[in-house]
Amino acid sequence: MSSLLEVADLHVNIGGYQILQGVSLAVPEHAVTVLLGRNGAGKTTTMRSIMGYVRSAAGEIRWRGERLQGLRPYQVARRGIGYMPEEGHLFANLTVQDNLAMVARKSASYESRLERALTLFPDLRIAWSRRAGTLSGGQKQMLGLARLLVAAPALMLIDEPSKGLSPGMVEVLAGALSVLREATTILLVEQNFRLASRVGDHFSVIDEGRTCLSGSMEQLVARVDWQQQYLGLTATREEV
Amino acid sequence: MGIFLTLALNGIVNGSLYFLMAAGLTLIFGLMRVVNFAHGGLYQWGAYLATFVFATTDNFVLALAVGMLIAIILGIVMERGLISFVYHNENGQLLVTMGIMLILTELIKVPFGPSELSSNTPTDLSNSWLVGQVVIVQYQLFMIGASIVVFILLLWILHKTRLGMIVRAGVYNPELVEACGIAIGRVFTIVFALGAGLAGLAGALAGPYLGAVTPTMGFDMQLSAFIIVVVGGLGSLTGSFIGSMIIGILTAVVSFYFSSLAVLVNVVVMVIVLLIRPQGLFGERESAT
Amino acid sequence: MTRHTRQFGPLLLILVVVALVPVLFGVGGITNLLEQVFAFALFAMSYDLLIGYTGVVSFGHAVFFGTGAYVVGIFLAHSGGSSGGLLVGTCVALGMSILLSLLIASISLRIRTVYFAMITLAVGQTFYVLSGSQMLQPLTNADDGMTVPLPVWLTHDRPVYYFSLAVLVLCLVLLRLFVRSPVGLVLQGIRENEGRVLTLGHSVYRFKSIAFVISGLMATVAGILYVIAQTFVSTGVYDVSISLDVLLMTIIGGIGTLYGGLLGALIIIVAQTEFTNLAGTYPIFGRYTILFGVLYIVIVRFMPRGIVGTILESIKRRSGQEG
Repeated sequence: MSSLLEVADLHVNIGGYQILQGVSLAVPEHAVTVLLGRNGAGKTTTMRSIMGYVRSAAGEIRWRGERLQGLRPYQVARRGIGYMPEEGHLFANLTVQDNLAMVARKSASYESRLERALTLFPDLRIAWSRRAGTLSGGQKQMLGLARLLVAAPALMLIDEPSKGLSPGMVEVLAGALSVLREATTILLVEQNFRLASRVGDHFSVIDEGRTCLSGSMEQLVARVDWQQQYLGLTATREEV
Repeated sequence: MGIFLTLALNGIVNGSLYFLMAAGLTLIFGLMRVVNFAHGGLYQWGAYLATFVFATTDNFVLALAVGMLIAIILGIVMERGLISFVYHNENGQLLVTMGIMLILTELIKVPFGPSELSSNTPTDLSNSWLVGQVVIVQYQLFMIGASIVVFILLLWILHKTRLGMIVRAGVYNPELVEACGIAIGRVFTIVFALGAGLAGLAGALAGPYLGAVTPTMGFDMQLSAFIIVVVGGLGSLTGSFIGSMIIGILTAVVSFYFSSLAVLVNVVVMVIVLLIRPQGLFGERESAT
Repeated sequence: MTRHTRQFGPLLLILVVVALVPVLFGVGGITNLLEQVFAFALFAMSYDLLIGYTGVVSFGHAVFFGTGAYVVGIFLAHSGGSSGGLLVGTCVALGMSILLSLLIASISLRIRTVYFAMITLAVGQTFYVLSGSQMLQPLTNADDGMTVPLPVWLTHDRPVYYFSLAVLVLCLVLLRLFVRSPVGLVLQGIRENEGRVLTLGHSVYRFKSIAFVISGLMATVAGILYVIAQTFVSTGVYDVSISLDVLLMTIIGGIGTLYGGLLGALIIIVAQTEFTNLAGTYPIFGRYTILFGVLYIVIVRFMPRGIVGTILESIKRRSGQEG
């Protein structure tokens, strides 16, 4: 099992608070790894550290063996890592067309990738010249995913795409994620365990800034006690 | 009626000059959230250098080019060397850019002396015509033309080019621009240089219009430009244009009747706008991010 | 007890030395210089209340300083230098200062701090223009400025010196009380974290306004001290360079330290005087503002806490290591 991205014992401090205190991850190629954990556990900070938005205090982030720390986010992106943040994952004042054009200059391969994205998300073709800010919640998520598809990175970091979506839209999202995973490697933050268990191959649980459990998704699905202990799934129902 | 039209024309000429200043300020603020308190210093350097070059070479195009170029160079040095350290530190930006303003205003006196320097209009642009009761000076038309060309050019860049798209995207979501693999730092520098160049151009054009360049011209112009961007809405190009014309015409009219009160009237207009629409006429309300 | 001695010991020592200056060195050049320093020290501390305790930068604080100087100057001039004129003028100046600060606060404190900087700059410039305008010539003598007669008991150097020093000390005590008051503590909270104070249920705007009003009042008193020391007032008191000088004094001394303004004022006033003297022989020293501009940048970049702030921090760190 070769890992595309490896995070080892990552520590991050923000404003005097220790947000991450030992996150370790291995993201194997051609698979979906899901980051799980409670709100505020440090999942988003982990992604932002990988992208280079947040400086790490200790530990290592390696991409195909190369150390990523110290690179600017655009340099990380150019090495083949795409990022869809939970909030602000689109340019609200730009049209759908321009949102997609942001990731690449026009070229033949761009056109074919664009065509594939629009086939997957036909809504976007209809909303082609609308401002992204006027799209519905589900369409916004589609646009975010479509931008990743067009950028075609080797690794996609996707932060809570299902947040705020209706059950019907979550179905569409699940379908889209399974198409994405055919083409690339994904590191996904997902609170919706049903969705996570459907699309995920591997998982890591972060709790209070530390990785406390990793393994294959089948294992986690089988172990109801783990789900209770680490995800608080059945124990505290109101959190789900 | 003749007086009214003359004042209106003068106002539009003032407004053209203001627009070149305000456009740069508003573009830089829109993208980088930096209010450049050294903008008047760039204008001043453009004005002095252009006046000097035109006096020595008698080549007005060269004078304009040098005026712009010096401002662009100063702008890039400022942005890369000093301001990039204080992004995300609003008060730091205010202090640093004001410090640069002091340096630029004072440094210009070293080669050129502390008194004013007279500035000539090129003979090709010195014609004037009497239309009705209004005297139209060719150089004034040239200035209006220049600012309209700049306005259109800026709109074209912003809405029709990839750079413009990146700038518009960066205004809303600079982090995501970087996630798209675009070096936003370089875009910042380009926009800053563009704004600086416009200030230099404004200065270069202002010399012959005002008849002389003075050590206080940068501060004076900067003050008007600030009032304009506050009135028009920081970050809005159209707001800058409309604001420039409003303040330009108002300044012309008020200075004609009560010579020294133009600043007062401009400030009153600014206060009224702020009370009614704090984000300025064309500004968008601040969002959480 | 020891903590208090350590804290106030140096200040008391400085106060004794400063009070002895006229006795030791006589009156004249040095006391005149120090009277200016007193006025600007108070001005800088008033500014620190603004930038250091509410976090907003003003480029027009001279509005208050100039108003103090002008209003008292006008009342003294038109009353022939009577004590009553001084008293009434002071009251009117303070009243105007409150109105002015409330007005500026109402239009600019609710919005971004960059707006505040631009608006204060513009308002400051308006007063500069007004004070020099021919329209107000009967009141202000327009561009020529006016000589201000002082009450008899202030006509000698020594009384002026001690009067200024006494007012400075009084205001310093008042400022300190304010900074340590519950309101002052909330203000420091605002500076650290506006969002959190908001959630605690305080109206940030109201607290900032209070600080702005008090800051304006102190700056007005500073202007009054200035006109008493100079016995002359002109449009220069409203000049933007006054606002910029006082800002520099504050950041050199140390933002948020209160006492930093004392040191900053001393450094800048002495430097200005020395450079102006030197410029007589070497004209290049007349361009000393370049150095001030460089200082702005250097301090923000390398010494954001200023001199006093940096010293206090190193003391704190050392005592922290001991304990």
